[in-house]
Amino acid sequence: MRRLHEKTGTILRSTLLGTVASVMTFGTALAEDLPYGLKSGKPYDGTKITYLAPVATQYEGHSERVAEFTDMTGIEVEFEFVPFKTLLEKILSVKVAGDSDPDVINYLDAWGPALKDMLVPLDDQMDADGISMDRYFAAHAAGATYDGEVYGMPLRGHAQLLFYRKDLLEKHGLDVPVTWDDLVNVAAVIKEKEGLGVANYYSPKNGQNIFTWVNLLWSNGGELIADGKVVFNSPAGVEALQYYADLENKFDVNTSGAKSRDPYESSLSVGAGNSAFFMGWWWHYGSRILGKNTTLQADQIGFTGMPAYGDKGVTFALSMPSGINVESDDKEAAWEFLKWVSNPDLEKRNVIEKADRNVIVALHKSNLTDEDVNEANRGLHMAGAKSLADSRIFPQLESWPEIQQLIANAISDVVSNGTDPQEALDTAAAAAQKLVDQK
Amino acid sequence: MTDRSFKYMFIAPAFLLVSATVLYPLLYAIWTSFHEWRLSKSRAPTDFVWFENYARAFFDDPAFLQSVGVTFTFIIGSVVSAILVALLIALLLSRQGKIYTVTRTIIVLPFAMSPALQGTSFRFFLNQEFGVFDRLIGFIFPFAAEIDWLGDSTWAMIWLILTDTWHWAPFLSLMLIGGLLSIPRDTIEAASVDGASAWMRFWTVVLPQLLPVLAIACVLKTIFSFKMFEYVYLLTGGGPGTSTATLTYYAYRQGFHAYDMGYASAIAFVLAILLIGVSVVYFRLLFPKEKEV
Repeated sequence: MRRLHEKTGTILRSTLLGTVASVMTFGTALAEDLPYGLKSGKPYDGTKITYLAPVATQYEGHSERVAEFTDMTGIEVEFEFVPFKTLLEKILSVKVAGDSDPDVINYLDAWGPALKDMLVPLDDQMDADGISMDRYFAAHAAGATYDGEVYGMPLRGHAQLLFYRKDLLEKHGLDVPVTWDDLVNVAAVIKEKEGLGVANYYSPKNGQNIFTWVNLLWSNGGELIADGKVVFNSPAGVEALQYYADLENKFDVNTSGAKSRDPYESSLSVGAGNSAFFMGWWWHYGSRILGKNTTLQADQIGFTGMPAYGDKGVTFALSMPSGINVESDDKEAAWEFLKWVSNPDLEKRNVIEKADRNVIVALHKSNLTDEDVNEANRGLHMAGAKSLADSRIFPQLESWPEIQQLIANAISDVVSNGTDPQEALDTAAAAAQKLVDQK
Repeated sequence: MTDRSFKYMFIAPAFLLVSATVLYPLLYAIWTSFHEWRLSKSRAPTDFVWFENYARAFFDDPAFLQSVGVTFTFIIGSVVSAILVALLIALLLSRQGKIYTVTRTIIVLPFAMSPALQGTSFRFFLNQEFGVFDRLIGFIFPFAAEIDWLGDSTWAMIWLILTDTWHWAPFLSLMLIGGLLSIPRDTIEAASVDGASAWMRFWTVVLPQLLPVLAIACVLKTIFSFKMFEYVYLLTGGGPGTSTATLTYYAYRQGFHAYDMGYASAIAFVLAILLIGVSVVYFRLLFPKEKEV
């Protein structure tokens, strides 16, 4: 009887221990299963962080799915959306005030050099969690890296593409343009036959008319700034600007109103059926060229890489990394959020789940070449991947935003007022050099 | 508590509020203008640089001088345009009656609208593809159908002025209506009895008596024209080229694009000095001191 008791006790103890061990093992397994390098055990449970981002469908997608992150980590995230136009002012006000809020800041790569002292370098955290910038295209990775240190995770980024009316090119038996001369020839035919031109944009508003010209410049072998010297007024730059202005004033291939148009109005012009071509960021495809307010069907629009000026095209790319505010009281929790929000799975779901919103933007190489992503977006991302493979970014200078505006003014001056391109670029270059020389 | 301290107690809240929202920022801006302050490098002003920022503006920055020229062009155009339109509206509506009262109420609406909304709306109105103004003008004047209103330097400035006039004229007209209604009727009737034509009555009787109100309206409009920013930012982006880049827009760019707050503050303060100077000149011209007999 006593033996039976002992045996029963042993069995019970074994069972109990086994159960405890199983629960512990299961719990550990659960914790270790947290994806994207998120820390197990909810060490930041109850922490509340804020995320400053521009208004865009992509971020709405993040906001909608953020409950999943909170469930895994216990960290609550409050999204603060501001229009892109006022984002820089908002960030600068945070910087001047030394605010700890927002904890995570989304910024344009061109602003990075001037903002980097308010951001936490992320290299150590990335190394610890096995995150590499290799998952992004070089241009997007470079946009988040200053002086060899990474300050943000690329979260929003664009490829430039040429969008064209596929149906009209097919109707007139025209090939898709590969070079700028091809574009001029094809656009001239379409404009003559259909009355629809290229939706170019030369308005200096927010310095955006430089986005197309810089492709011409780089493709023509020119540079913006080299070894601390402003060189965009080189013969290559002048030739590129003359050609860019000729699209409007000599070749007459643009849709009327180009001198005052900005990119938003240009893509809308294609969407409204008033223009046959648009060169710009791919996000325009989802909401302005083909959106609920436009008249075109998907099979009417084609897309390809930006035209090449010579035999090789070089395309401009930009990105919007997200970094951690150096004044944040919850940097570790903010890093957990950054790991989650920049993960490729979330990005993929954002661009293929189209029921609530049409998100285009993706940055991971794996997603841009992914079959599901391309099927859901008619191959747009594969075209984007090709464009990004040869993309470059603007020079990483603190004063770049103002230099960009100087060039934009020069472009507008040449196109609208007939100013000599050499004279306009020389004037801009002299002012830009002063900005570059400022210590 | 004495009467003296009692009255100070009453104005103290207002004084504190004005000090916090106007005086402190103004004094801080002056202080900043004498300092080096690059937002990209520092959260606060750094070195004291005396008048370096001011010297740079006048002797080493052609873009600044150009923006001064653009600002004065805009001021002259917008003040003349707004005052003339306001005077015309005032002359039409300075009568008693329900219909006039209702009309006077309705025309204030443009002034009540946000400048940001107006700037965006006018940009859309003038769009060559979708704009209602563009279509309307093209219909009435076919020769103007191909004009890119905001893509031509002269037209861009004209539309900047007209947009501003649309905003300000109703408010100014209310001021002038008040002035017109306060003119003694017997002076106008006496001129009529003497056989003065309508134009003579306006020129020799009404206008001189309206001059004090007109002066205030001009000063007010000049001050606001000096500060023009919203329409430049939203309508033209300072372009084409820099043909509509006013001083405030230029100061904004220096502060928030070039991150040079010291220089931006100096430009802003130059603007304030110009504003004070112009206001003084206005009053001296319009209200000369009476000579002692």
